[in-house]
Amino acid sequence: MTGEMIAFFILALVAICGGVFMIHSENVVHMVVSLIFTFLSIAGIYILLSAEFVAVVQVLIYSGAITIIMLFGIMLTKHDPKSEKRIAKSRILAVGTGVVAFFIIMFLAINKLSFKQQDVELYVHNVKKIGIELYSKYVIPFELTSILLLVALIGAVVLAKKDESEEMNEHE
Amino acid sequence: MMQYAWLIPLMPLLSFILLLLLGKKLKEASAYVGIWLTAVPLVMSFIVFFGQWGGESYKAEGTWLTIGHAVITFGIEINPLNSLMLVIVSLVSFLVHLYSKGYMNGDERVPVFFAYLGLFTFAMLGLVMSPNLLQLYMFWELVGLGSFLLIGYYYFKPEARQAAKKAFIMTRIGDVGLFIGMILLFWQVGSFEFDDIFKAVASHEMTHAMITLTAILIFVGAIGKSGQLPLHTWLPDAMEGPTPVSALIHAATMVAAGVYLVATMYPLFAASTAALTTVAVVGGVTAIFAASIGLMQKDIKRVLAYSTVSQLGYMMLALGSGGYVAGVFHLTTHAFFKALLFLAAGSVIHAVHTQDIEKMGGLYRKLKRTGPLFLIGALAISGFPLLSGFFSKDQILAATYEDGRFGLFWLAIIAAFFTAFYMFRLFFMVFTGEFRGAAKEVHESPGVMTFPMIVLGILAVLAGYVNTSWFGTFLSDYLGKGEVAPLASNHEPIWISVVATLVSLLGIFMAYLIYKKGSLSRDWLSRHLPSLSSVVYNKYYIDEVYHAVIVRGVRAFSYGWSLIDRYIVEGIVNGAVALVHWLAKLGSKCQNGQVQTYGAVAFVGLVLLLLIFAVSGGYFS
Amino acid sequence: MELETIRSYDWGIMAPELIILGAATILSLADLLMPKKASRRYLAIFAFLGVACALVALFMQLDNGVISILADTYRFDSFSKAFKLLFLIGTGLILLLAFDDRKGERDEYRGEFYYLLLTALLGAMMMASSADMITLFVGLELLSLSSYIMAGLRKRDRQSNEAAFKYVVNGGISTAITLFGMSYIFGLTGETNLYAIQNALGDPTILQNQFLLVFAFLITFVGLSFKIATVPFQMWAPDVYHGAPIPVTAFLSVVSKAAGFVIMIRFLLVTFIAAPGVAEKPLLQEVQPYLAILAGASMIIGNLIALRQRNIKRMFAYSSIAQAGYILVPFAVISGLMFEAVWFYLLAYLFMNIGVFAIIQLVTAKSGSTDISSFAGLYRRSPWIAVCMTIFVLSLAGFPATAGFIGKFGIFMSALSTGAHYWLAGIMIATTVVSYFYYFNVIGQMFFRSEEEAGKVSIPGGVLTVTAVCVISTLVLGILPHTALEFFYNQFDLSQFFTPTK
Repeated sequence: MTGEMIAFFILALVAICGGVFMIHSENVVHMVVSLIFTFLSIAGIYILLSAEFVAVVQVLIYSGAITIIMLFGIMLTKHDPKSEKRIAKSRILAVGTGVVAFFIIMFLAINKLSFKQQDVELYVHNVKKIGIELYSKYVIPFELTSILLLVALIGAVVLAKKDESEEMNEHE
Repeated sequence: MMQYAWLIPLMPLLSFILLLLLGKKLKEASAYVGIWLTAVPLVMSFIVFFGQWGGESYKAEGTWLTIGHAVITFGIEINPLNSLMLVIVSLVSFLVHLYSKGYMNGDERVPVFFAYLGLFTFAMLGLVMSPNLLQLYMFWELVGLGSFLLIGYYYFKPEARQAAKKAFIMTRIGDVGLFIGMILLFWQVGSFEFDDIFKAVASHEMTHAMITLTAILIFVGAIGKSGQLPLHTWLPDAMEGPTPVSALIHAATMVAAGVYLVATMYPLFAASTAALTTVAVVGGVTAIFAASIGLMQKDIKRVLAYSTVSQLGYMMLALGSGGYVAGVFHLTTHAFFKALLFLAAGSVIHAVHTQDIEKMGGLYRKLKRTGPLFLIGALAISGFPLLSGFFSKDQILAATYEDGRFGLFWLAIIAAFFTAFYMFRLFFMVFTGEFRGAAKEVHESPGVMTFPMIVLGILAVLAGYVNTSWFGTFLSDYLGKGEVAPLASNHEPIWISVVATLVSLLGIFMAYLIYKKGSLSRDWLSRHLPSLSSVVYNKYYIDEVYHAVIVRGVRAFSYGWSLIDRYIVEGIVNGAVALVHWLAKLGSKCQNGQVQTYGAVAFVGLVLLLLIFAVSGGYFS
Repeated sequence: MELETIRSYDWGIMAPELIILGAATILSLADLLMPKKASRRYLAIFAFLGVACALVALFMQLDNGVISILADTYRFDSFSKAFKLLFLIGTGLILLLAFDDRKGERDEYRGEFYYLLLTALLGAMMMASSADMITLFVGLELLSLSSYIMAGLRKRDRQSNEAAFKYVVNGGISTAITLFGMSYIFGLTGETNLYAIQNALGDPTILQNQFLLVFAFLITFVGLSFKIATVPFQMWAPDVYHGAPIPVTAFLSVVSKAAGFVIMIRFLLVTFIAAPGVAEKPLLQEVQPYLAILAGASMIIGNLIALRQRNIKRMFAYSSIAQAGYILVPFAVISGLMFEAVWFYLLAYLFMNIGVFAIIQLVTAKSGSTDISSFAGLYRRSPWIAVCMTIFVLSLAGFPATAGFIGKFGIFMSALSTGAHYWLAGIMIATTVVSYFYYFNVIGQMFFRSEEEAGKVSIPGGVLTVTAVCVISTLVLGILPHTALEFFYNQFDLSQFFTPTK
């Protein structure tokens, strides 16, 4: 087993554990923290794949910006740490079996995976290559993404903005 | 003239549109719009018919749509069979319009009623003139819609609403067969045109199994529309509609459409013995089944409804036995006498405001025109010698006999006995004896209602002479021109006529003994066995024997059939409905509003797909 | 890549998309700068004009052959123009519908609604006119994101909130599944261009990973089935359709669904057409039974559960699940008639379903409830509206002389053309019969029920136009279907769809 493999397993384990903790935790802050672990270990996996650019972006945006915003959101809103009502056993069983079956199927498929001739030089000037591709060949989806982000922004504003009527109620 | 034939169905459509648009302004006058716009097609149909008689066939069509490489056309066709149908449909429709003017008098929604009549007539005429299966199918559905609206006309009655829905959906079940059969034929032949299909059949392009399959699928459509077993239950319920509607739908048009479909597609059926046998057996069983149920009914219109089912069974029996002409012939005569009977029944109902025959009686003297006319209709349907029904029924029996289907032949003879019996039971209970009803004054219907009945009465007497072995076989010769069908010969053994006549006379006589002579109380059907002493004191010993042996046997038989009808046939239908509802309930239970469930269903569904593929594809091996 | 190469492309071909983008931008600025109290209602007119201009631009481009920009990240071909036409017409009609949405009169987010509708349309159009996985995906997300927000715009309405929430969560799951599937396709081929993938899947090394390829296909298919709301991704539809404002519901059930079919056909068919399957058969043939089962299940579930619905919006939500099942049939059997069957049915479905929702909007606004009983006695209150509704419902049920019949007919023809799919055609017919029960329930309410106290329903101009257009189109397509089909045959060229630009 190479060092790369060991690193991969540790990172993958952390990522999965983070996800499971997030679902199971009943405290919101704990959730966010376990999410950070997941994000960071995914960034680690990117580095293992010599995709430093994506890794940096992952750390900056997910581990940085998104978690900070989440924490702000938690701080500024009221939340009762009430536990949710229990889920039916049958569903847990069904979904659990489904997840296991899905894992087995995909794991076997990935295990047998064989690729054709790989490009080995991909990691050289990684960022530059991405930049060139993005601004030449993929300029249309790139621009479309900007519209997508604009829409998301508007949506966030619309949903988060206080209603005028609510404001009036508060003043009264 | 032929090139203007396409105007025939458009006139009633125009009536429909006009009445829909202007109905509120026209009010009562809308009846005239409807009447005039069916009178014109009537005249045109006659011209077309006589033109066709002169040997002039006509076909005009244009491309309607192309799917892939298949061109589907739309147009009209005039051949011997459908020009005859044109006359029947437009005549009965015109008379029903006229009659409705009187019958529906005082109803606020008269314009709506005539609009629906127009739509229905349009659909039926369009159906008859279609040169290809697809077009026929479209009008076929439109006929169903028209009947839905007409049967549900008294929407404020829950029974009428139920009946309308039932009629539509039951016939739809039959249509499924027709639709599949039609598309299968298309993929076999590459065309919906009748002519192309027949050519393909004649040239053995299709395998024999395919011919049988498509023919039977198409016959399933006819079963639904013509109220044959087991899809007949909508027809008696449909009596909830206004009586003129019953006359139109259940005598000459919608239910006849099924028979017409089989007749039109006859070369396809003729190419497969199995298909013909299916048609004959379904027809024969339906004939006796419905006739025996008719023996017990107390509602004047329900008796006629079961009678219709039974007579349609006769027509199917004829077609299935190779008696193409006999079937079409009976279709024609039945259209007249059954329309007459329905209209006369409507006139009775109009007079006494009830449909229960227990509450009628002695009406012959009070309804001076309706009475004799009903008698003519009853005689005609019973097969009384020299009236129209006699000739057509005779030929059906002859065709069945010649075809070697002796079992069905004797069933048909027994059904003929039942027919005569229940018709005259009806006649004697309604028109003779003492009046048992509550209505104080009983008036004959106005002239606008009796006139159509008189016309139909004349036709019910005379229509038989278009095809008799002694008077001339005009109809056979005429239909023979269309070269669509192998024709059954007209050399019927004379004893068949004699037996048929005797049987129907016997039926009439039995009814006379029981219901006119009054030797047995009228409600014997619902009463328990008379005690032993009443047998001793009774002068009519023979009646008692009859009662004890035959009538009870018949009653048990009839009761048995109606039990089958109620519990098995309806049970299957209701069971299917219940199953659907149960599944629906189960499905909506899963929809519990929890978003987690939705995600779980999607994911588990995906995994199942993968798993099934992996296992069946040998992934794990 | 040099600037010259970029400039050498025929960017003018993007005119419809650019017009929609421009209109959305101007609208958002106008909404921002307008005084707070001013009515945003008339912005709908502007948005409608934008759509109309885009439609005109599209018509002017009809004669062009295949035009590809930047390695098919934008691709104009017969497929894209045929389906963009549907999106534009549908969105135009929905804008008119929204113009008269009385319930939304007091919403302060009316302006947002109009330009979100346009961005959603833009996403759908990009999905139709691209042959690159990335553009397709971004278009899909643009459409989805705009839809999520639209569904939740009515903030004070709890049902609207609930709808938006369920839509987002389910949408997230579907996106995850789609991307998971797509990532395998990319991983196996190393390409994002659909034609390059098609080419690469013919490569012999693929044969060692056939199973993974089939899994990728199925995963992507299930992910995409969220957009068209078929089994197993159908359960969100009733809740979301129920809670969302009616114009949004109409958009989701018509334009968004059509876009889902577009991406499904374009992406899965182009990439997998030459792919080898596990056994001897090609992949597409191997997965056929699975797609057919999903189509059949959608028809059964949609039609059966619709039987029990008392709420008119939910009933039509289930109806739309069933309709999607019908449309899936030609795709599942992959017959030669697939394109015209799907296109024509979507066109017919567009008119009849938008018509239905237009009338539902009118009637429920009047009665204040979305229970089916608000239709009681409609024929006597407003005969014309009842007649129009009857035509739409009959068309949805597949009654002759309406567009729905021709559409169903085409689907049947395609289902039976390839043979061995009799059972699928059988399920379709049987469920169609079941659907008559609930469709006739609506008709029965209108014609056979006595009047409720609610009075005559008046019909404002916008909805009147929508209803008139839909009724006329439903009837014209039903009686003279060749008008549309001929247009399709003239415009559509199968070879453009399957082969890359030279």
